Formats: sequence, structure tokens, C-alpha cells
Amino acid sequence: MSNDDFQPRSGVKFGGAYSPGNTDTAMRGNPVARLQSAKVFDKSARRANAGKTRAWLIVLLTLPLVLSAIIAMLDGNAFAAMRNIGLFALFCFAANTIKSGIEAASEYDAREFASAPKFPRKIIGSALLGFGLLLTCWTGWGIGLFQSLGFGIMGAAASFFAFGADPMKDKGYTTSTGVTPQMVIDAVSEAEEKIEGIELAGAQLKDRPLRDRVNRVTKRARDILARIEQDPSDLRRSKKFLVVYLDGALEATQKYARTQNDLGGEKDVYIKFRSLLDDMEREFDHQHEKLLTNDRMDLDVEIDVLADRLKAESRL
Amino acid sequence: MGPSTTRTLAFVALGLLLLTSSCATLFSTSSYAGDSESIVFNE
Repeated sequence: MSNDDFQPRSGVKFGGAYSPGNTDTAMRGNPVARLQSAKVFDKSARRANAGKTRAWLIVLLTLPLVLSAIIAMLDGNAFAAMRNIGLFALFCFAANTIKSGIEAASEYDAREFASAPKFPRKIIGSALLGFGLLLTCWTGWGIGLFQSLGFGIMGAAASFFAFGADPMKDKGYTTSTGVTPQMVIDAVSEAEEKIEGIELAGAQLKDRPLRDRVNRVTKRARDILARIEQDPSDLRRSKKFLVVYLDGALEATQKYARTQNDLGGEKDVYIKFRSLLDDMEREFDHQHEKLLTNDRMDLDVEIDVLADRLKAESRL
Repeated sequence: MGPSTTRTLAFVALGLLLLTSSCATLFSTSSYAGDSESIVFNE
């Protein structure tokens, strides 16, 4: 089996476990941790990729409509041209809707705790395909309305079976410590928003070693999120850790990104920020290992100690 | 017949429907264009 489809939740294009300069010794030395932190992705990723390719094949198969629009234009038939282009656009829109439904379903499948997507995009896309087929047969091909309706229903049904239905129910279970699926979903979404904020701010940093450090911090934060999803009984303690650290990292990174141009030759601030990121990375690795081994003993104490440090250091 | 085979067959059916209707529209448009051309020519 190839690893082309294998994408760990914490996977990044650069700065992976075996890239130069990477100090991810906790992960490197713990293959079980690597597996635990990765999404179970290979089968569902292959299916999602196949689905997306098929969704785009729909566009290719309806290209004759573009040709017929060109012929109609050359013939001076504006309405026929507009109709055919409109039908092609409808099929493209349906294909795009199905593709985004496939992506949402793939994300849902990859997680232990997930909300069902707000809109059943695959079903909507299939209905649009059926409607497009009905219009094409009725107005383009010129067969009767009932026959066109039959083709439309067949097309919608074929699309539904080809791409499947959207997930309808939220996923998850309530743990023995009283953590509900909604609590996990909320905590993970909130943390992910902050991680994305850190990544955006990190992308603006001009210094490559700093960018790499930020990438490693966010990668480890995602590993912790994956761990929470797999074992949400530790959510309360993990959430406090994430909120404190992610808030601090977000604030510090955004501040540094905003002021890096004004720093001139100020090495002090650069060294402080770099040292803060190094300590955060070390602490994130440490906490991640503790979560894996279910060691809760020192979690609270260490969180408080570094929280105080973050408060002091964020005044950069 | 597994789910993967069902999905593939359903997609093939969908593909045939789309191709048939699009090509039928194309032929219909071309023959209409051809007819109107011949009418003009005959006149």
C-alpha cells in the first residue's frame, strides 16, 4: 500500500519528523504516538479522491453542451446558445456542490467527534444533476416532458448511488467523566480557529527559523487535538492547556508579525520570541506525551508555571 | 456485489446519461443549424 494518501492530522509539507533541523524526538522515538496522532485516512482518503475526480468527470461529460452553444452562436441562435451555456453552468455547479459534499463527508469520517454538515451538499448536488438532465433532455434534446422527467429521476438516483448520502447525525459519545460530544466539538473548533490564526500570523514572519518553530508548535497542537478526540475524558485539563497556550502563542505571534518590520536591529525581542517558541514547543511535546501515557499528575502545575511566563513574555 | 462496485456502476450509468443527453443536444443543434442553412441556400 502506498503512503501517498496517508496524511497525518499534524502533517505539514515542510518541517516533518525527518526534515533537517527538526527536533521532534518525542514522536520519532515513539512510533505508537505517530500512529495515534494520525488520522485513519488511507481508505477514506482514496474514496474521497476518487469521488472528487468523478465529480469533475461530470464537467467533461457535459462538454458537448459547450460545442452546441458555439454552433448555435454561429447559427445566430442566441437563445439556444444561452440555454446550452446555462445548462453546462448548472452541471458545473452541481459537480462543485457534490465535490464540497465529499470533502465535508471525508472530514466527518476522519474524526471521532464531529457535527453533521449543515447542508447535505451531495444530496443537493445529485438533485441539481437530475434537474439539469431533465432540462437538457426537454429543451436541448427535444424529447417529451415525461421522458425528460424519467431521465432526470434516473440521473438523480444514479448520482445518489455513485456519491452516497451526506452524514446526517452528529457523531460521538458521552464519556464516564461527563464530557459530551458537543463539548468536544466546541473545544476542538475553538482550538482549530486559534491554530489557524497562529498559522496565518506565522506565514507573515520573514525569518525562516521562526516560521519553522511556529509550524512545529501548531503541528503539535493539532496532535494534541487528535489525542483529545480519541480520548476525550481528559478534555477539561487538555482544554485549559490548549486555551492558555494557544491564546498566548496567538497573541505573541500576531504581535511579533505586526512589529517585525519596526524592530530594526533589535536582537533582544527576536531572541525572546524565539526562546518563547522553543519553550512552547518543548512544553507541547511534553504535554502530548503525558496525554498519551494518561499521566495527569503534574499537568496543572506545569500549566500554571508556563502561563505566568507567557503573561510576562507576551509583553514583547 | 460490494459497495465499491455499486458506486462504480452507478457512476457509469450517470456518465452514460449525461453523455447521451449532451450529445443528443449537440446533434439536435447541429441538425437545426444545418436545416436552416439549407433553407436559406434553397431560397
